Amino acid sequence: MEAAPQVNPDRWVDDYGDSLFHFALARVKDRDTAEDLVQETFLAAVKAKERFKGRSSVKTWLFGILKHKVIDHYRKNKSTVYTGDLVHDPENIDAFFNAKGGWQTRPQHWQTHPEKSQETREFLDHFYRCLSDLPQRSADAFVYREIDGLSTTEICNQLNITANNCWVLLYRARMLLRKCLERFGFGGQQKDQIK
Amino acid sequence: MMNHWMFRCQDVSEKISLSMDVSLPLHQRMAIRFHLMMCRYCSRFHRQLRMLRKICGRIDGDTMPECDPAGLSQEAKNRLKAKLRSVS
Repeated sequence: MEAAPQVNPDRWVDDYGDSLFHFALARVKDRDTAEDLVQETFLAAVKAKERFKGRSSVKTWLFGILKHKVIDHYRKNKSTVYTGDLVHDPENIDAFFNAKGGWQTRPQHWQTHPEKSQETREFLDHFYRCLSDLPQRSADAFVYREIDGLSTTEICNQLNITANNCWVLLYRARMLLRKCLERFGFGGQQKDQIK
Repeated sequence: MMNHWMFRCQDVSEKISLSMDVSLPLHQRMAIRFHLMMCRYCSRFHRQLRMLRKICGRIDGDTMPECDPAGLSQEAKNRLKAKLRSVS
């Protein structure tokens, strides 16, 4: 197990600067913004160094911080294109279904191939934008679960909610995310929007 | 045993989402599978959730292709080092 990292800025920048930068640049498409995110990541790491217990490698730890910085970046720079009636009433998942419990807007066949790198990048761009438009707690639950890989028990502790609440938040997040992604072209035809 | 929820896409979609987080009892898994055999839309929903998970799993360090072979410029590195020295 690796010992807690020494705060050695020169070493961090030389050892991890480029890979963190590539990671950020693949997601924000702008060198200046990517550089800012790397800087924010290092600064946050310096601030949080006492809490780093050495359970993961320094690199994994730094990437973990950067992942959240990227999400914060999208949240701060929300595009109004992505806001709108889609999440107008995020509490009301019932609107996705008709009175008989059938799909009001039928899920479409996604024409994306995430294994192709270019499509992954395009998908991720929309993914981050859609994620930033989710209600905060649903987005938090989703990020903890799917990006950080926490169990629902761990998420309950983080968000101070019951397991049932957690599952509801995750369900809403998934419903809204898939709908949002579909709206932005991953579902092919857009003919059956919610009336 | 037949479950009333297994005929409603809304209920099944909730169970599908739940199945991504916990292990459901066998009879519920069977009921979902039966519904998916009959319902292409819930099948798509199921595939989409799995794809989202797959994509999220790729949001990690070295799994993304590099979009720019050049890394940080030396100037940027020096700037970062100076900034970090000033706070550490």
